[in-house]
Amino acid sequence: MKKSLIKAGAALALGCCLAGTVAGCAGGTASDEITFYHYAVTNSLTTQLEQKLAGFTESTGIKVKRVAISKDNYKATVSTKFTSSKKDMDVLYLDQPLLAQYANSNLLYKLDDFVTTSSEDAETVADGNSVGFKFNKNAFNESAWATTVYKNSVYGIPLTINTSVLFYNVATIKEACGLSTDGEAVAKVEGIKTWSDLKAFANDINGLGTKYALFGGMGSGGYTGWYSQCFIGAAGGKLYDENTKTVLPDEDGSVRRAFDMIKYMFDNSPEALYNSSSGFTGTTTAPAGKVLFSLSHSSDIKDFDVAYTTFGAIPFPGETAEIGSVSNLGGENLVIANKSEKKEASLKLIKYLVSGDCMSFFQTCTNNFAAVNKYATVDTFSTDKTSPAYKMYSVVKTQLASAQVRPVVAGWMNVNDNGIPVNLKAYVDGKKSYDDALGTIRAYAAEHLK
Amino acid sequence: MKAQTKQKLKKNAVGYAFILPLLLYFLVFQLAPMLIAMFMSFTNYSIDHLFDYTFVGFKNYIELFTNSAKYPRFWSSLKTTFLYILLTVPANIILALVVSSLLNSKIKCEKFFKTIFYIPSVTVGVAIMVMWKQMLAPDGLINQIFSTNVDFLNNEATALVMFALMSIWGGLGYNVLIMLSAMKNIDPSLYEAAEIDGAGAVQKFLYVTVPGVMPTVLFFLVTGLIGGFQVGEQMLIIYGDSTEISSIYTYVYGLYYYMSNNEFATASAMSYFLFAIILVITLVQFRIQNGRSETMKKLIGKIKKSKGEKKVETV
Repeated sequence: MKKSLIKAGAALALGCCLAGTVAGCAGGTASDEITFYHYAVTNSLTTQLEQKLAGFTESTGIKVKRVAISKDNYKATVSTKFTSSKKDMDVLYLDQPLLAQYANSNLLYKLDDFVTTSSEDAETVADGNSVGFKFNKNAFNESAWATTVYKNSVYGIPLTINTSVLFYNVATIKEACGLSTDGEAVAKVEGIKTWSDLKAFANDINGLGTKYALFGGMGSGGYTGWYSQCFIGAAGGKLYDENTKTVLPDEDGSVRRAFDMIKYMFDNSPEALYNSSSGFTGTTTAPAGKVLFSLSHSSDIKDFDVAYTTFGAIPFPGETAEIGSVSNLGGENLVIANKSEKKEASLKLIKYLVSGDCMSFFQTCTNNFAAVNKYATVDTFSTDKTSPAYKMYSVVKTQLASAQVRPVVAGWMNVNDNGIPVNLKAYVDGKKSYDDALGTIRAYAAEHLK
Repeated sequence: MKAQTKQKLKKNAVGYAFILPLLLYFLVFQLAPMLIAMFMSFTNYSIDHLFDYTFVGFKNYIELFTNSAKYPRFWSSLKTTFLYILLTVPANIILALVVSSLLNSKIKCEKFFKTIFYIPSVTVGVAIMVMWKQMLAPDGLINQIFSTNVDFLNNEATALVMFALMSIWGGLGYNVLIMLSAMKNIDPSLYEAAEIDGAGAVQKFLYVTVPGVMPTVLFFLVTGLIGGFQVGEQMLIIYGDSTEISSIYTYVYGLYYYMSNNEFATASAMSYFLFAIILVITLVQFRIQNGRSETMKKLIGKIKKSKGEKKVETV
């Protein structure tokens, strides 16, 4: 009897130990430590980030616990964290369109009291407030800053920015246009400034739609929602009218023209070529691909910086010369969770992360440009001004000047990921009329926008 | 009576203590989330109503079916899931039958082949997906072998088929092992009787082996359908929570999208609708299975009886 009780006690203790270990693994943060959520990066970049954060701890005494999450699972993980009662999330990266969603739900800390406009050439300026500084709005990219403002309040500090341009494979262009030198191919592509130029260029391709695809990069997901902004902006339109609350306002026919241009691109881009291994990049053995242009962003340049062929980039052409080149804006902001109990320390960490000490690191990490104007330099990516990579990053940087902000409206992420791409693809595939597609997008938006 | 119960409890105290942690785990981490999800599915719980959610009855369920403006991918994701099931379940069963029959035909190195086939089943799923991702890449092994130029996983026409192939390959070892056990359990006298009746190899396979393993086939049907309806994790591993390829947008992949977008009530309603589908299909299949078992028993009885009569005739 006694023996069995001892056994039972031992078994229970063992079980409790196991449970305790599991619970212990879940962890928590020490009182003098703040938690920073960010995208997972390579081991070498992680080491660099740790060194940067160690520098911050040394200068401020504030310890930082890093939580690295793969970009693919970031949204899901952070969403779950926001809804839990635990307060172990202080500073975090946040994809631009998510800011409005979380701000609308009162999950983000309002930073209005820590923002100023100053003529000083610095991202922060000294102030007599509780943390001793304010963020200088003037030091940041204007469009990037606009992504942090929801209902006239600031909820984040821009970290990095990006935009889309048209990349091209020089060897493919040369082959498709029957040109003899790389220089001729580059000159021919660089002559494309408007949609008419692009169509004229396409007419010169032998085997367009059979041997060559005009472009790649769009499908029926979130990227398509984002890329569609390039076409709509380049036609003089916009995604959302704040005043009338209309999604894809089309009084001037700009959205229809944009949709038709997208359809034209798709119609001349058979999927068999578009999705072939010798699609855009080609291969080491056969450098010329089958896809002439790829609509993408600077994150992809590292993949194009290869020895076997040369790539280039041009700004996204406007519908007309009057409208000029217009593109979209993406990137990440730094925000503070409203439930954080260490907001002052969090503000100090953000100040450090957007400083000159860290910005080039984040540029390297993300292949995006720094959101602080003076740190957004092509030299961070490449110092050889004659290299294709340098030229491509330069085009992206130029394009950033005319990059449009996505609507900072709660629920836009849904419209971007589902409403626009699903119906746009249905229009492109001839499964829906334009009016039907637009009507369905608006109906979807009416259900999801707050 | 009370004293008896008390004594029984004392006697089993050690056992209870051992299962207590697992029981707690089940209650807290499995049963409770299931019940919470069910409750959530009848509310408007989402990122906008974390603390002020209200009861909305069956609204979430009704809207999934009727509000195509709000859930434009609902029906298409179900269609994709059914397509995946059609691609995988019959192929899984047929392949398992064929391979098991070969292994059951007293071939050499049966254990070796069983081990080879079973290896994918003991390999970590994520590792398998990553391996396939590399093999199916534009410059991967498959393209090199066939001298093709297809980006299999980023092509609307091929992506879902590739996931089906990965699933069939991954499940073959387990299926073969189960099927082989079922085949070995078939009464050898049935084969003898068939031989006496002049049946060839194909006829024996069709009229003895197949009916003999029918309960296992039904088991594969049930588990295959359940697994098929739950497919989505593989897509998440390959594409993350956002993809440009609509042909792989399965029901569970869509469910995950709503979860990651904090639309918990919608995701919960989708989970329970899925649960309902699986439950109905499983019940129907078990009913069919029970019916077939009765028929099988009668059939075996008849064969045994006729075999006995033939032996008597020979004597």
